[in-house]
Amino acid sequence: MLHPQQIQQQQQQANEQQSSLIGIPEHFDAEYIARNTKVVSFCQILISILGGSIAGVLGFNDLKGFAFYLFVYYTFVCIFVLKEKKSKLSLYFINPNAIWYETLASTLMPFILFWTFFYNIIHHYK
Amino acid sequence: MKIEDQDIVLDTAIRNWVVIPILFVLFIVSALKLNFSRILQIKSNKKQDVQKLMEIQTLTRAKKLSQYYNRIPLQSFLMRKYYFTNKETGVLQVIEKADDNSPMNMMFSNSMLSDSSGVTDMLKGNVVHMLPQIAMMTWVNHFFSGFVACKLPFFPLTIRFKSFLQRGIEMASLDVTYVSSLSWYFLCWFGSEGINAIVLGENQLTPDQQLFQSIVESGPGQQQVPIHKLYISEKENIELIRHESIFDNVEERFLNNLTKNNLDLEFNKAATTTSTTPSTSSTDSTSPQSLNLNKLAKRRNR
Repeated sequence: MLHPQQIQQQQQQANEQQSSLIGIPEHFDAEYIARNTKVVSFCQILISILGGSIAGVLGFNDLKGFAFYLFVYYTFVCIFVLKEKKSKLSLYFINPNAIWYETLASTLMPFILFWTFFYNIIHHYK
Repeated sequence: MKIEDQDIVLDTAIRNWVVIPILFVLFIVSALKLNFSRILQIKSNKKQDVQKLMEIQTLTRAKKLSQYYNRIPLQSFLMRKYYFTNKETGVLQVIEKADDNSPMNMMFSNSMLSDSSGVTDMLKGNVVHMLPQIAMMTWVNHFFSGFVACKLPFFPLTIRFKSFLQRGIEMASLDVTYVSSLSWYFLCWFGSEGINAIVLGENQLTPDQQLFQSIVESGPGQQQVPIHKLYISEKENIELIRHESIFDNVEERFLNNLTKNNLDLEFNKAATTTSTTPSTSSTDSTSPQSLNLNKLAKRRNR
């Protein structure tokens, strides 16, 4: 049996080690992080819809369309990261690298929808 | 077999009367659904009684104290501890006594109440989400089946999906990329979530309201464990805390960090902007010295 106070001492020692390394323990406000991610995903959905429309109008097939999606997605992420380079993304997100892959799957569906829609409207109805 | 090679030209009437209406109707239905569920939520919020809400908020407060106790000075921690766990008037104590009179009764009534409300909430959610979905699917299936609605631009799925994608079209030689209206409906359904997030997400809730809602929503789940047991466990948690502030020797640790200069760049930058003097001396010092200082600081802490 471990005495609870002993456990707490151990925890506190671990905390001390952490705090001596970093200075102050990190504290995240989950609400505002959620808001930040929401803002970014808003932009990404908009971009994916735009990209889907363009892909449909240009009439991309099969793999070309998906390659175009990846191109649009990563162009946006690159521009975003370069633009926000000064304002330090690590202050606004827990894991700033997650931008590179997090919404890749969720923004694919709007892209496919608009891609199919414009592809059909422009190229297949006569 | 020739059909697979050449493109099929679709009638514009299909575009005007099938493809665009399905997209439009799906969008409108999802908008209505969102507003409807919001109205239901507001109504269910009103039904929450004050006592329950107070209990939940007390619990969250106590949890916050046990989580962040090392961020406040000793005196204020003791004040809060007294407020929560005091023998006569402690907040966590009083409820326990009240519940001790008839624990079985309270448990029973609590669980019954929460269960019924939870079930109705779930039913409401299911009705709001499932009913339009079923109605739309039957609508699409009933009116728009039996012809090719659109062509998918991406590679065809395997032949096994053919019977699903081309519902009502019995043509063995038709390419799998030509799909019927039901598949278009599914595509719209999955894709419209993104559109909804943009178009309908403008009047979203403010963080305060969200917090309130999350607390209220988590209410029934927590209630299934009787509230006085949660109170007792929280009380024990708070009583067991051996207070130690993280701000003990904070000046020394701050200076140590300045001398290290290599571990945490951000912190150092902040320090150089706020206090310009120590930054010049920080560059020439070596790491073993700072480690020794750290150890000293820890000893003093104890």
